[in-house]
Amino acid sequence: MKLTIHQNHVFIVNSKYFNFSTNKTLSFCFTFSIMSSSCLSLVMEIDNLEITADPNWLELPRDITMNILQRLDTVALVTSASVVCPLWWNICKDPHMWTTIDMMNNLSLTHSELAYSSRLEKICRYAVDRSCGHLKDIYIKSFGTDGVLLHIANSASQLRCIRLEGCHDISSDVFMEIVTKQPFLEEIDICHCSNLRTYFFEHVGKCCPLLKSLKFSPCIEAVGENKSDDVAFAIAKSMSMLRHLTILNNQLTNNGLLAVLDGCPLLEFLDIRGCLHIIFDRSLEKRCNTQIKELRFPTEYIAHKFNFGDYMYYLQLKLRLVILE
Amino acid sequence: MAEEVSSQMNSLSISETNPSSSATISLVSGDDIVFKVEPTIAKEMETVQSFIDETDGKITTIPLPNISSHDLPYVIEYCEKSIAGKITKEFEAEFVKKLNNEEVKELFLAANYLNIKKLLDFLSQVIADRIANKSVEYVRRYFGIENDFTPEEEAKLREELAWTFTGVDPDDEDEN
Repeated sequence: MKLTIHQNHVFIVNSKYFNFSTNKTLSFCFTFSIMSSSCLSLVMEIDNLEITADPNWLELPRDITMNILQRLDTVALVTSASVVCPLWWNICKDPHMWTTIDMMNNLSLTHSELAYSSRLEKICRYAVDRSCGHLKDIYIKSFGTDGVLLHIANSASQLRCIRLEGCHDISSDVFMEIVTKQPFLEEIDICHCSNLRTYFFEHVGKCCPLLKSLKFSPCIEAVGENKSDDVAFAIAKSMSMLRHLTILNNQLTNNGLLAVLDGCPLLEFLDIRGCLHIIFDRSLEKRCNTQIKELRFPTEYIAHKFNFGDYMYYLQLKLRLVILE
Repeated sequence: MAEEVSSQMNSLSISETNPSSSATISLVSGDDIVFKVEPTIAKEMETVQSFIDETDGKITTIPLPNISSHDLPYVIEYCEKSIAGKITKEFEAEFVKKLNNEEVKELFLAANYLNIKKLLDFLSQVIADRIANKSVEYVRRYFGIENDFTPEEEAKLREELAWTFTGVDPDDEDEN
């Protein structure tokens, strides 16, 4: 005789049930019936039972299976999990499985060819379509074109977070067009995207009143001789809800920083590594201490550096493509 | 952790005395090993706790027929750390290092049965990590899932997703 996982489910469901039950008498009855029917009797007969060590995963509650599958990145979900069996296929039909598109774990472009990145693009589009407008968070690394981003912007209106890393094919103009359609954006993280510059920050601030976190790491390694507080003033003027600001290797000065601190009263995390025109004197330090909980100083080391090798390889591929055309 | 082999399952005792909060709880694994744990540990296991609550604490020996004596110590260890607030990335990494695929699966089912939310979430992530970037066949084997698509259905799927079936990691036969 076998004790199947099925009986456990009955037990768990019931025990959950009387957790919420307020009627003591009723719950006692339940307890008693469960105790006697499913537990005590099993206990008494347990010696005669052989417990199956191989429970069927398909009999797990649907939300438990979803809990696992939701943790897979988008590529794994599309290419593997969704076609494992009809049940999983069915689960993956649920748009809520696709609220996050996570394509950060791709190999870097140096290890692949353009065919690979066009495949990633197809997977991304497929996932966007699957989300049926429920898309909230999107993380893209090393691929992604204006076309993909426009597709996302046109399919989703409730984006909460955009994170782009090493996406050299995405232009500032298209990025601006996208934020225009996303009033619920709370997080923008742009890292090493050679065509995305800081000049659109004011536009972003105007379009995304809920913006809480802005991270920007340019491809440029070292800040030049020129000082400019334009970006800082744009942030101060338009992003009053900001809590987290990372802006590396920027040309801003003490004036710009003070404007940011005044303009973003909720700001509590500030990362200005590489912004070497900022001079930390006593008054600036004091000003920061009253507001900022976590501060990364201009002279601190930036571990995650822009990979020039990757970028050169990317340019080479592009060039080859142009020649072929 | 005290353990004793209970000779008979009918040693299941319904304590008549008024349960004091410090009384230990006995968890009986499927293979009849008794694990004595503090009530705070039992609290982490929702299934066990609701059992205790609903009998007003009169039952302190809880049979867990579907959990083996091999898995239960892991569950208890995790709960102990959880209570102490010592679930760190390092601890989780060490914890999972000890487990092979089979054990992860068994622990997951135990966590599901006992309804321990934190452990369930943690193991969900572990499982997701272990099947990430694997072939469909590997995932099926990992979960012991029969491919019950009809040939027509599968052909249709393969066609629909034809462009996706390249570039996955080669399957590892033996993973620890």
